Amino acid sequence: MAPALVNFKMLSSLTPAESLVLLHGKEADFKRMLKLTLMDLLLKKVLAIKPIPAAGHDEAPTVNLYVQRGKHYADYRPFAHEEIYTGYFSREPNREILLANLIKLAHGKAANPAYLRQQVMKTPQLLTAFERGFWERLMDKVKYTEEGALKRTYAATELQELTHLLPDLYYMDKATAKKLLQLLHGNLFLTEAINHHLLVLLDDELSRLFERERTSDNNNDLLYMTDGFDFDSSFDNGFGGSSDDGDSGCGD
Amino acid sequence: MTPEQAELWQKLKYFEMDDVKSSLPFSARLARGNGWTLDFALRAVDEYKKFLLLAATLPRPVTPSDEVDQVWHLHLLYTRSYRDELCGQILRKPLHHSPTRGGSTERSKFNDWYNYTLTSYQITFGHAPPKDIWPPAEIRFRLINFIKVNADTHFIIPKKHWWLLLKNQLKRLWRPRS
Repeated sequence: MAPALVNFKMLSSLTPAESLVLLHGKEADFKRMLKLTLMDLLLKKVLAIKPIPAAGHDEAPTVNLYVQRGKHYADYRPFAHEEIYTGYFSREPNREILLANLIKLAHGKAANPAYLRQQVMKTPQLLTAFERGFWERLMDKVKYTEEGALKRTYAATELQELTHLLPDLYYMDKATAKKLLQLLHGNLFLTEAINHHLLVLLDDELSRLFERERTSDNNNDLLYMTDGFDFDSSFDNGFGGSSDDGDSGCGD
Repeated sequence: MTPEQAELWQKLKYFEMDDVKSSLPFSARLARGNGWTLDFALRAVDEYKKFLLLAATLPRPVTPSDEVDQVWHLHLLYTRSYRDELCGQILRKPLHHSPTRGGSTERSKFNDWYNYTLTSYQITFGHAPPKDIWPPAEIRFRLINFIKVNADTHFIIPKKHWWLLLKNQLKRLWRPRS
């Protein structure tokens, strides 16, 4: 192992969501937990992205991004906080879903920051890092144990080192940077020292989702119907009358 | 699946009705309008696509389940997507929606078509249709008493729960006191 890699024992044993909860406790950012968890699963090849040229909606982008099982899906045992993404693929091996829809589903399953954080705190790595007594759970208090405080210090030191090391490595020693990526997966993006294009994309999707939630109201329907309606001049020159017409019933 | 069906299936599978830029995409509207979860709505859309394949390639007419029919109804409102993209570019022929005209003859006809659809589904896709989206014919045509309710002005209590509540209350009242 290269010298630069030996120092990341703590971060390499955690998922990004675990790292965020360990480092920030109650202040762990919900959006970052969702984003880095998906990024981590993609980098671990538990899930994979499949771009398909768009054939559908008029204003769709030229390529639609679908998510499917990755080559390591079958061997991977996801934690509860990862199942918000992996669970969708458990029933059918060939299931594919639009990236935007998977993020929406995961966001729904994660429910809220407190719930997701509690799922993360139940993993073997963090189970002994926090006091989880009745009152702590009831009042949603985050209190580190002695072991947890120590782990937090290790993780913070490693992250500091990573932030210092990564920009140079990224541009000057691609091989070590790649090894670091294989070791730390999604944790690499805790630093914000580099900006992967996929991360930007996930960030956009999540921002859109959060924005939609913030501004949603029932008037959307009306706008949609009036803006989208087009009295196409060829409206009546449709497909009727052909002997090859498909005609199917609904029965109610 | 015949080679013709396999080719069409590839197109239908990636025929995307959700506009990712929309604040209220197709699947979200479908879920909201029917009181479904997004997951269920997405599964219903997948099943609708399978129904489209059957409708476009089988020699006899087919009939959807009510869940699939709800997807079809909504898709018909998206006229560009339905007429131009689905019928015009993918199926390359029109696919008309024909509601029942009522009466016992029609009932029997649609019952027959529905059973034919279920059988054809199994043959074409190599597995039985999921029961929560494709119930057996006796359920499909029995549970059809739908009305539109304004959820802002009405409480909606599932009858199953209502009866359970009542049953438990009655049990409690009639329980012999010790």
